[in-house]
Amino acid sequence: MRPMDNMEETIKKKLNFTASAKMRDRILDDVLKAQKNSKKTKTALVLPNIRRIIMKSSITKFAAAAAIIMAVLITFYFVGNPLGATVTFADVIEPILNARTVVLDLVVGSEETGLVVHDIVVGSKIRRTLPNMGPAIIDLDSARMLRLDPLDKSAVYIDIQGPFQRWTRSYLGLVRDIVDDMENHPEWPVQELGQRWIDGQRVVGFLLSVPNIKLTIWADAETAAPIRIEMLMGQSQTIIKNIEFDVPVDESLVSMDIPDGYTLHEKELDYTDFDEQDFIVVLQYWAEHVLGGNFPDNVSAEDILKVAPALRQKVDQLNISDEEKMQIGMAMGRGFMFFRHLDPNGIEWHYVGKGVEFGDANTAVFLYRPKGSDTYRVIYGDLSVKDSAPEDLPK
Amino acid sequence: MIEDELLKWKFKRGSKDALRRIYEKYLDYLLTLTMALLNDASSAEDVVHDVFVTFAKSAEEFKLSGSLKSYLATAVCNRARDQIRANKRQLAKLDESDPVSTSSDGPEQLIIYSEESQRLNDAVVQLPQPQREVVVLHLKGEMKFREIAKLQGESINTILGRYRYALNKLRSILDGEVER
Repeated sequence: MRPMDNMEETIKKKLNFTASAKMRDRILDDVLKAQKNSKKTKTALVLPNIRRIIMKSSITKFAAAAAIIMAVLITFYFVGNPLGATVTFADVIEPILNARTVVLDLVVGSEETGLVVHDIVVGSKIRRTLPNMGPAIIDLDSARMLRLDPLDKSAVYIDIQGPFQRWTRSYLGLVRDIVDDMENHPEWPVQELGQRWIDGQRVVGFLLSVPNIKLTIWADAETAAPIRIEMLMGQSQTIIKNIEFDVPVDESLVSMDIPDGYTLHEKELDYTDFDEQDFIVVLQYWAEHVLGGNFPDNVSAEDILKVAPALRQKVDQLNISDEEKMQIGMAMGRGFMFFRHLDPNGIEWHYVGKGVEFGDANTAVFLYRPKGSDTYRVIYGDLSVKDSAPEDLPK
Repeated sequence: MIEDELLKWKFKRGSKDALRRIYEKYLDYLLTLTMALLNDASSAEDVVHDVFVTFAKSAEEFKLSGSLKSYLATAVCNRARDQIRANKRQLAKLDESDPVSTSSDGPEQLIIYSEESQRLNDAVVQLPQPQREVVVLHLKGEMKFREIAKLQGESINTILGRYRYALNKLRSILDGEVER
């Protein structure tokens, strides 16, 4: 190939000019002076013009995919811990162990206000549907997800390995592993809660307390079939209900193949490499673009799942390229993952942003103590982050 | 990109550090664009200087919804046009395909570049200005054709045509096959 055959690449890579140190300093000096001499910048937030758009762009898919991954993790924890060592409790969890298909609703947050996710489970595959987001098919064996967007008939594969590896085992295999774990931990108590009525059904309850998790399972008092499971992990609450075991399911619903009429997105997404900065992006857009300059009253899995559509809408409305929107969407997705990994890992965190204005450099909005750290990471209203010893934490 | 969003937000609130970071991040990028458009070190410095100084004063008016990179690239392009219009003599030089010095007339070198960069730039500046803008803004400015079409006030087909002609001409020049 002749050197100039690939003219575009040559210009992209080889045509470069660099400022000398003297030029660099000379211009910078004037630039900083110009800033200093200009009028003081106003503190009020300036929001982008909002235009009505149809939500069909890439960012929609990516943000929605991230929200679905959050729900994936929620369920992983559900199946990972409701298992006791007593005979009675074993009766209750027997269908979970042995059922090949399960259909259920998962409420993320409280019963009254939470977001309802619908699951169809077939072996190690799950078809998961969130409201207004279309379905995702999750293959736990291969740790991949296929996200389908019925709106524009597009499909994208998403890697859910990396930090999620320990949760990407077979759905039922994971349950069996946890049973083994429970047997090795006799100190994990299972408390009988007695009988009560739920939706006209007489049920018996069990409370399982393991580190960082309180799990309550309500089962039919006659058949021992679980009908409702409530889990409080850290500060995150989830409820599983409308559970049906071994019901006939069309297995094509959990196929990882691209359905006819759908177009595969070229890029395979990966949300697994997340960090604090990604979560800051979520806070920024949430406060600045969704709430007009104030941080939310509360931050929880429920809140994040609910705000996800608004976040992606605001990003879609920005006057930036699709690639840039995608980058923000990906960062938000990783930010969701960052938040979601806190409770399962027993990381202490506190959201204190209620009433804080976006840009307030003196008031903390979120703080957490990384695993093994003696100090807290404190995120302030201007999105700056500082390390703080426990005795120095903001009041 | 995420960093840019934070930088814009901090810049709007008067952050000196944010402005400094924006400057450091995009100085060479803008300088390369300007050199490719003007091929003159002193003029390039003036253009980049003016763009950054104007930007520094614009915090209140600066729109958060735009891409910072494209915003700065567009500003440089507009300033470069002004510079070309203001300097008929330099324009004549460019149109006559007479490469202009990439260093100042003084003893010190304002801008650092490789021989290959110089050779490429000498070819780029031989393109008619509209074609040159398309090539430079697309390949070095990473702007989309539709953004360039908007900037030049032309249809996207016109822009694509200019791009094709420009690349063909560059190949001819650089292969030493240009017909004079």
